[in-house]
Amino acid sequence: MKISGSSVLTAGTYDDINVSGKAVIEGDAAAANVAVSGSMVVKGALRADTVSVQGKMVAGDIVADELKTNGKTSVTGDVTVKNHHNNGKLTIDGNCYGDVFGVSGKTSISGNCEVEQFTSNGQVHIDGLLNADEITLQLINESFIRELGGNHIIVKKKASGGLFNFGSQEGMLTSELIEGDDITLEHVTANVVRGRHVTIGTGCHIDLVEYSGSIDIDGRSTVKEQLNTGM
Amino acid sequence: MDDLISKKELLKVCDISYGQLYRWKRKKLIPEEWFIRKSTYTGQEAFFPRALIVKRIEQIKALKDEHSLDDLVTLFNEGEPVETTDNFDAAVFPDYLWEYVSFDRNSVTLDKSVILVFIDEALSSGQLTEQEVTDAVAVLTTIDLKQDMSLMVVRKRGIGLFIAAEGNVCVDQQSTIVFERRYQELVTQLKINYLRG
Repeated sequence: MKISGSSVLTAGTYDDINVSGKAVIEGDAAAANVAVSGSMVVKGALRADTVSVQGKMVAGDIVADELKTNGKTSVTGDVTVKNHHNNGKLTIDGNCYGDVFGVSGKTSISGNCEVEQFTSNGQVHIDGLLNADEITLQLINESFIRELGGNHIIVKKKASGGLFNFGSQEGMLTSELIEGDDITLEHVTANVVRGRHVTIGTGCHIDLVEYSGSIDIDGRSTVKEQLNTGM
Repeated sequence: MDDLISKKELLKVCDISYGQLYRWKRKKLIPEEWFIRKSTYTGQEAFFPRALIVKRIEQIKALKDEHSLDDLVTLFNEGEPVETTDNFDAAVFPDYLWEYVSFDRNSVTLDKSVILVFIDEALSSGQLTEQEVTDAVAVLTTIDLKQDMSLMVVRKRGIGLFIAAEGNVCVDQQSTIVFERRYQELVTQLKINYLRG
């Protein structure tokens, strides 16, 4: 199915969907490959092998092997995608599942995010739990993630001077609970941090740090209470 | 019922890491409903039903090197319907178990398999005498087994008593439940220890 201009499609299964311009699908849609340059609105769930969007995408749920979005993406349900790369603004009202989740820009997830690898460059807001084996956050502006859990967790402020960072405020993450094996934090405000090896870098305010292996606290950070749970 | 274990204690008792625990949670090996949130002075903390979670973690640790985590999910999924008409391969059960029963080895149903697993678990528990196991088997082979049954041996002043019951069983203070298995537990054991590979 090739669309140039503006068109409304019925729900159903398609081979490939190529949109240059604007397309609206009136319900659930399944396709092998979806490529959009312009805008696409799916009023139900979208199922595809690969989805590539330049511009705007709105969908109920998205299930795909690969999802690449560049622009503005809004999903009212869940996103289940093996490889997900987003550049721009991404809003997910439900949960997010997959293997690799790489975002840059502004990301907002209302539910939980469970992936193997989570990499963000920008601002993140997650109301639930971010559960990933590897979590790497480069902060720009104020981020909030209620809970982080995983193996390796690295949170740092994005090095200033980048184009994206131009005119932005200080990067900062607020969180209630961070649990992992190896944790490195900068510019994080959190109630509780629990881990094996914990490194608290510059600009952190943590109420309680519990560690079973090692701890390192930068002089410019405050940790109200620390507890060695190792022995 | 109220015996809970904190996440922190669980890691220590089972010698696992946060990374493993969160991975197994992602893979649905640990059911969402086992995460019990309670308020502590540091805020919300997660607790688990001690007996269930410790047993599950030990099972995962024992099986994870030989099986993919996805296979384990299927294995642990007790809600998965098991065909009672299934004819299990008699060869998966060791010979010494057959000495306790007079089953036809060509038609091993789910109930019969469960009884064989029960015998194996009862013998290897070291808690029961051979006579107690034989007595239990005598009952098990004559009754209609139910999915929500609990099978147990209660002992009072050296006298053992076998009970197969649905629902809760209360015993007096001089008695102890020396061995207990739920039917579903035995089905899970069957899947893990006899039917794998």
